[in-house]
Amino acid sequence: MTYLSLQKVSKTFPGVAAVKDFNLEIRKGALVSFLGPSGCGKTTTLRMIAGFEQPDPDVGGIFLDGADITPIPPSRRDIGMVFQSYALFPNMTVAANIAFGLQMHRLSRREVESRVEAILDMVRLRETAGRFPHQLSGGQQQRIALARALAIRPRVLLLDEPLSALDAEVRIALRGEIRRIQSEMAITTVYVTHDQEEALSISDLVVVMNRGVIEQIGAPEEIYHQPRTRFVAGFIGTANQFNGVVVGGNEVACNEIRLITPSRAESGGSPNVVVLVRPENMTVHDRDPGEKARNVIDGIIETITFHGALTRVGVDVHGQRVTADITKSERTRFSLNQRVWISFLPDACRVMAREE
Amino acid sequence: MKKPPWWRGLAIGLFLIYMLVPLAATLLFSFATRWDRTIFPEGMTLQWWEAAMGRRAFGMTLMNSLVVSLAAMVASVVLVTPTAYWTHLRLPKARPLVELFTILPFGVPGVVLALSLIRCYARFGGAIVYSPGMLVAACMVISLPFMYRPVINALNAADVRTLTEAAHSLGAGWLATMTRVIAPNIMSGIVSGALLVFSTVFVEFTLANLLVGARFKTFPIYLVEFTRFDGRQASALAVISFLFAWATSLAVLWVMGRADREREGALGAR
Repeated sequence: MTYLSLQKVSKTFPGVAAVKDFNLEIRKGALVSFLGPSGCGKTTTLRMIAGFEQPDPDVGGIFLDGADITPIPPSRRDIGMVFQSYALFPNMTVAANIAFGLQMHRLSRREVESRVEAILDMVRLRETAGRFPHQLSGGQQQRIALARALAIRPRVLLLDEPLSALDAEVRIALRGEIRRIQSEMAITTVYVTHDQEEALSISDLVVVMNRGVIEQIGAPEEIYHQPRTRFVAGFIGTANQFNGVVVGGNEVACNEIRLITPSRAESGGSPNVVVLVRPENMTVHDRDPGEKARNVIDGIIETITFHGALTRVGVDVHGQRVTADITKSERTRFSLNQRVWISFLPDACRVMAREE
Repeated sequence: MKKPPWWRGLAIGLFLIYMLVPLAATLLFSFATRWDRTIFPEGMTLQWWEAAMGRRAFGMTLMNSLVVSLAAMVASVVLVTPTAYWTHLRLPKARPLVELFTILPFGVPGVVLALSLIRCYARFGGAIVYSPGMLVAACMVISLPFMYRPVINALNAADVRTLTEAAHSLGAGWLATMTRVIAPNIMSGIVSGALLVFSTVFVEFTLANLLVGARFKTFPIYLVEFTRFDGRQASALAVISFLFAWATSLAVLWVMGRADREREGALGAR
């Protein structure tokens, strides 16, 4: 059942349309990520949910549990927020920071104390209760900021790029922590990030945004494997793009190459299409695989870059750069300037209409 | 390390002599029995200090100055801090205009301000125009830059927008946000501004003389009166006035130093 709903929400700043006709329905207890590049409108949308920005008047609104919260000031929305810069109050100890919201909600002193202790246990930072924010590490500060927002038991939790100021190791640990706590408390959460890996790893639903509009809404797997637009395909992970023309039911001509694509190609009837293939779905051969492989293209290796679990090769295919992933065991068979053949299955292709 | 040029010590020495000789001479003169025929005073005495401080008017004028300074200080804090906060947060476009207003008092001489106020408010009668309240208001105007600047600097340093939003998201209204979150985090700016207002108003003569004069005699008026009949007692009073100004300046430096140390501590911990 829909708990938080944004209906036809738009936001225009002088001369700039930051968010255009945004529609989204979020069920209770879900974690939804807004994902997109800088300036795509994701933070503006989050700030409208929090009440720090007002949507353009007269159209649409923001509804929480069936009630229109658009005219309600932020302090009365019961929506918790975690900021990128933590925004802990420097003049208060950790315990006082967490107690602040509870005091604003006029809870009894005993209730405040017990809730502060419980939430500190939840974020596993009980020993920091008497410290000031500047005495904590960045990761600890963000956990306290999360605890402070959760202590008031908000109806919705908003997180605005909460991990982007932290180093990689802390980021990965903390995002797991956020997901654990969010699931334990079953709290409806909106998470803004520009980090696709972060969004894909913790979300129930991902909303990919670009230039103020929603490009695609879907589960992480769906967003990754079935991108609906070129932007989504390019923004989420890496995708090789081949421009071509449909020449048969499931055949696309891209310059001298003919690609076999799935027959369910979603080209929208347009003959001009782009075929997208992810690097991990490509196989690299050191000799021509011949008839036994489909969609074979050949080229010269220009780059080989190590990515930990896999290695990525950049191949010049008649002037176009194609990237493909190889495993550690395959790595020894390839070197720079070597001629190679790349093949991929028709099912690995995603075909979409090309806007000229 | 490169050796500092020879003239640097000389320049600093000359500057210190230029600054300290008049102060030392005033102090010495206030203790001198007689000092008009010799290079150094002929003898030392506490007579002038006792005479100057023994009068009833001494305590009264000191108290009047303290009352006016404290009132101007409190009013400045109460009016300027929320105004600066609101401008910073909600009216960033108005900031240049507000800054212009706050430096205007530097361009208007005290005599012009006092006479303008008298002309402007004359229709309300002498009880209002020549009242200590009017003096407090006028002093607030001339000390506006000293209050506004430290507060706005503290606001710039504290990321008040995010702190305000964090407080609102936790259920705090404007008053709780201001008193419990913003004010404590810009306290160094508020305190330095308040002390600067206090010391500026405490030594203000022109406005006090023209607006209240003998009706509500302040310490600077009392001091100037003394210069007319006894320079040595006036010197004793001038030294007292200096001591007040120094004490407040030292307090300002201490507060600002503490804020800097706290900030460095916070950065060092990250």
